[in-house]
Amino acid sequence: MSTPQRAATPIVLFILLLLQAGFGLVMGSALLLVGILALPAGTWLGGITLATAAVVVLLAVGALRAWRWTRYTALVFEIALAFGGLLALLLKPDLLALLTSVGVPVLVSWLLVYRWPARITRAETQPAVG
Amino acid sequence: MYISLHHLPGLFGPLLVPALQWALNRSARFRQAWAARDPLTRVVAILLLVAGAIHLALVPGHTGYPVQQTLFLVNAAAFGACFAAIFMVRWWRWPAALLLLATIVAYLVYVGSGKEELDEVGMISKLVELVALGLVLAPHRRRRRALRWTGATALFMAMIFMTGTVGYAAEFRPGAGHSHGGATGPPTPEQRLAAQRLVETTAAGIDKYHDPNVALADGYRPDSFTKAPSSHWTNERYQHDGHILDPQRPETLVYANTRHGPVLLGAMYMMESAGQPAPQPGGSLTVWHTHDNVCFTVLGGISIAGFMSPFGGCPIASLSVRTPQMMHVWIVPNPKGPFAEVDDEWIKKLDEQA
Repeated sequence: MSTPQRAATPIVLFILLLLQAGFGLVMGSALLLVGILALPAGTWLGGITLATAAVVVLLAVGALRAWRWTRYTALVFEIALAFGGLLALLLKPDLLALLTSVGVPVLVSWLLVYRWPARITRAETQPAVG
Repeated sequence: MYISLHHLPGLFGPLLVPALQWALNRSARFRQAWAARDPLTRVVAILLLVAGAIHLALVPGHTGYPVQQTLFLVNAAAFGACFAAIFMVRWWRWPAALLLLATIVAYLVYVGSGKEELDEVGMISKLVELVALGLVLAPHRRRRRALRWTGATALFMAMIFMTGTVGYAAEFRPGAGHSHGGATGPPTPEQRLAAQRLVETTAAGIDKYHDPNVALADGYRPDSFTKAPSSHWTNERYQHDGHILDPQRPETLVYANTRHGPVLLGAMYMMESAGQPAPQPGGSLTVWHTHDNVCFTVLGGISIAGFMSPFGGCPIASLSVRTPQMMHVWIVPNPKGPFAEVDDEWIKKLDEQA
């Protein structure tokens, strides 16, 4: 008997959120390094960026396990990220930034809104009994 | 980051995917096989096709580079084979993962060794491959396999980190992150004279700023790179004063941060706004440049927050803008010339000698 397949959405969400956490990990580490070597502001900015990356890892795990709070927290985070990305694109159009700062957050938001596993949505919308 | 002309066709590669999908859908056998696969596998199949199509489209852009052309062709064929394997065999995940890993590592070796410049098409291609790798590595069956999840996640994160680190290293290579423009031909004798005159008048004009206190009194303020070998001291009053290439009012001074305090290295002239054309009295000797990978924040006044990530983003609360054109004029004997970039290592040696 074959083992049942996992649902696709949580895995795609997990990977996309980990990708975003990876962006933060790279940038945070670089900022910390620049902070130590040259730019004092880099130290605290690097710290904030790494802390944000850690939260995104938590959101990724939450998405995989379909934790209820993850959906809305991630949605707020992604919408903020997409708006920030759009603002940056208005100032300086850039194809790569369009994909990573707007494309990925929009895709994750869409998955969170429309493709969140149905059983979770039903559980949320059903009134508590007893 | 820019798009290399060699790589430009790669951007259009993904357009081949719908055409190929349409052609394959004409076969009932393929439609049946496609419908039998779970949605996650179908996403991976499309990503593999996109990666293959990008590499295939890179072949015509590399005419005259037979090694790269062959590698792109072999890579595209391998992605095509992995796509086909999804519908033919059960063990397609490991070959696909190995191919994705090899493709990413090969690119990083090329970029890391300086054989190829980092560009947007390369990074977009790596993003597609990274997402595909993550999806291929993720355990797809409903079993409790904590070790496999941990291993897959660790490998995925390590590949993102490695891609980003090599990308940053390539961006910090001398000359990267700069755009040069203007005259390119050999300078005429008149232009050589004009360039020499610019160095002399600049040296005379900023002579008083050997004393950094005079610079401070005149309104120059150092940037945030206090721990770097050199700092740029900018005078905001001179940035929009209508004076261009005025040795008496250079927009920026450059000081070496030495053990004995700031030592004047030269001046940096800056145009008033981004995109404004700059005069080149010395022709190709007096080349201006812009920065397109610097992130600025407005928290606590406009200052540099860091550098754009190779994935295209800036740190929190900062944005990247294209800077106005700028040109350094060194009054110290820069080994590369009075208008060229100055090497941080050379500044450090200057400090040691002092």
